[in-house]
Amino acid sequence: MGQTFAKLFDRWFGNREMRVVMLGLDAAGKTTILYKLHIGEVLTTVPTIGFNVEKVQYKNVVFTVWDVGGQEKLRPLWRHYFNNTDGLIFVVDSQDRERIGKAAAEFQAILQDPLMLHSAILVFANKQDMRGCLTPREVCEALGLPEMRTRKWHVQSSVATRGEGLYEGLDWLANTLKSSNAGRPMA
Amino acid sequence: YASCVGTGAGGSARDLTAVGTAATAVGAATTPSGDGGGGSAAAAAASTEPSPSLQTSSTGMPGLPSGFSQPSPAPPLPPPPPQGSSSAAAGAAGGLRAGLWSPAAAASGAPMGASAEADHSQQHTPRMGAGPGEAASSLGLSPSPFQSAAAAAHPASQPGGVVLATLPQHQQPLHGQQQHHAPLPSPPRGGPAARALRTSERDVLLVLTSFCRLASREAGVTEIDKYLTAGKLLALELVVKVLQNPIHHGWENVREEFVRPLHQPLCLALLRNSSPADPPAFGLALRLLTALLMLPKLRRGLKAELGAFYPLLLLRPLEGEQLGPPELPAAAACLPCLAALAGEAALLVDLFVNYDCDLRAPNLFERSVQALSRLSQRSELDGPPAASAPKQQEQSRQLTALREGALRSLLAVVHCLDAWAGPLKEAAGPPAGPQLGSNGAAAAGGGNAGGGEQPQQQQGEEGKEGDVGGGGGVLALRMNGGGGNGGGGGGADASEAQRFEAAKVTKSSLSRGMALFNGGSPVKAMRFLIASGLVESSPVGAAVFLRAHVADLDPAALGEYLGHHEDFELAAMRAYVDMERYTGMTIDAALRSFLSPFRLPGEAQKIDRLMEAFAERFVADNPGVFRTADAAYVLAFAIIMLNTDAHNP
Repeated sequence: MGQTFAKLFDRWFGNREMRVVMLGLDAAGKTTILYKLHIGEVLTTVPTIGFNVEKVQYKNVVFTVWDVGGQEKLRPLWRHYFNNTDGLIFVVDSQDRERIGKAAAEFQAILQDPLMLHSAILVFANKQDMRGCLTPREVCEALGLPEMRTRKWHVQSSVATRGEGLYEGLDWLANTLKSSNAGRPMA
Repeated sequence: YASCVGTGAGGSARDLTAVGTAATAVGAATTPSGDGGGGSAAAAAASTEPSPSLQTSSTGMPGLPSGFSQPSPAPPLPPPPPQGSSSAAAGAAGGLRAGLWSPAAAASGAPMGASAEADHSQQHTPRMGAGPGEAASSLGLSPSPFQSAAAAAHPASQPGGVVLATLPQHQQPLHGQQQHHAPLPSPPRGGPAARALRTSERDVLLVLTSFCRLASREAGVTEIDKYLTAGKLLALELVVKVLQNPIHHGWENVREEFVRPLHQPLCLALLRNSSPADPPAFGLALRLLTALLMLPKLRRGLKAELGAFYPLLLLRPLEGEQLGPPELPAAAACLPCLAALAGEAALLVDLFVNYDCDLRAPNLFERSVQALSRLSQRSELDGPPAASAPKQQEQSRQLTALREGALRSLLAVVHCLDAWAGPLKEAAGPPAGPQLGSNGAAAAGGGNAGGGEQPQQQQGEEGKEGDVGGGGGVLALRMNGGGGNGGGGGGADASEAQRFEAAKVTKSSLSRGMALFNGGSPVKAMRFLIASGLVESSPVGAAVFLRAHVADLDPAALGEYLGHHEDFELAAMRAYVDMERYTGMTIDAALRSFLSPFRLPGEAQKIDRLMEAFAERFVADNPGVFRTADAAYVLAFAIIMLNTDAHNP
């Protein structure tokens, strides 16, 4: 009963749901981030065979974060799954200088997709605790973000293993969502 | 031959009837049903040759012929010399003989309906190839050289007693002679007449199976059930008594045809009474198991069964994490049995060779020693302390007794193995002697030292095992000299020892690797297994290994391994997927069968790679269903997405 009222309140006064997909090369730290975000309230605990999906509530926003592949061949599927995503989290392994080019290529390909045109872009420059890693600025430049004038983007330095920087990133996403009013009321 | 065995069996028959009359006198409830109800069925079972009941026991141990003969038989070795020397060495070593010498195992593994000839050949072929090994084999087979060699080497391990000393001696030359001829083209005992059970044997079997039948009855709670339970306990006790009766000379002269029909009823009786919740029955089951283990002739055909019962009955009460007041009685019941077993060097060696050195068997010897050692170090009971002071005192007294008993058993293990290995040490020559001595001393000292006793002890035992092989080889040489097969004895003794060592090392690395794999580091585990030579160092080798051990692998760990992103693991994953066969399946059925042995990791890239490999395999097996592998891949990926979506509201 109480929960029903709480839901009603949420619907009228603010709680929003935000669908976010998380992309990035393998071993960039997506899974770690996903599970570190869980420090907050655990909303779903059903283990399923399939992709890691987590619902995280943060500052009146329920983030549903999908860790899905961004392969070229899978573009046909995006229509169904990314159609109404409000945000994109792209995770970069700042230490992996060799593959930063590959990461940038994938990133650009994703951004060019028409389905992603209206999404806010959060980049986690992850593994900042490693020696010799790229700085957030270098990551930003490597990905070609400065040239993107029409998009809302943000590069956040993070150390996923220690949970550093993750909520700052979500903060930005939540604020962007509120200001652009892109969020949908909860169903 | 038949007659001499007949006397043996007749002797036991006489003895059994005596027991039977005792049963009539003691338990009015038991005997009538034994003669009547159960009797007719048992008679039917006994009259149709070895017995239909054995079908189960033979299907229950498909691996027996090879399993009981050798841990990991002999593929890497040239077959005849090691085999020949192994059986001879085993014979000489006394205790090893049951392990290495497996006509019974082979025969009991065979379908019971087999003809006399088939059975006969089964009894002799698996053990030996033709050629040089044969002379040794026939020597090894015949009990008389065994007896003498064993008696010479291990006076202590002989059950002892006047009857034993005289009776076998005048029986066994005959017995041995027959066995000598057995492998020859016209075996004197090949006829069906010789194989069929004699009337007296059948009677004994009937009585014994009836006892077992009574003993395997389920206990109830009603008034009548009390009588039934009493009868059941009596029956169990009688079976134990029959098995333990020293007048049967450890069942040495009993024929295989007689022993085989007993396997299944005995196992059933053990199984039905294996719950510690019923202390009297449990205690008797423990004694029955101990008695079974003590009889080489009986335990020989029951490797798989004993491998299951031993941990269930003897080790479980001692191995549990908790040892509180509720667990005390069971542990206290187990300890005397383990203590009794600990004095039997031949049995201990058998356990080590057959279980600890066998990849597919539990480490009975190691676990026993570990359980005993843990028990001997336990200072207090788990769980809440007893309410009253006297109770507390009583419990701590019990625990002290347990600790003492465990320590005593450990010492008994060390002493009897040391005594057993004594002659072999001398035979093996000076280099092994001092080392063994120090190991033995370390083990014995470790028994008292408490702390880091475990590794030392194990090491001590293993040192001995190694020497056992060596000494056995030397004895084998001596025996083979008479049989005209003197060659290769020296080499064989080393290879024998190495074989056991290698088998044990293989087993320990495998279990270490498995533990690592399932403990969350599958990639490391596979690298370790490859480095230790257990897995072929190729992606295909790794895939073959994974498939072979899929039942023992943790699905999540397997999924993690298959999803790993490094080159070797990627190749291994592709090799793994390439071994799947999806011809004629629909894609969802194929996907389901692909995903059933492991847990699909949740990371996108891992799913991606697995789906890509899967799609390639599927399209290769089903050309024409999809135009390209990519289409199948997208569909497979979409199925996983839908599944995720369906379960994540």
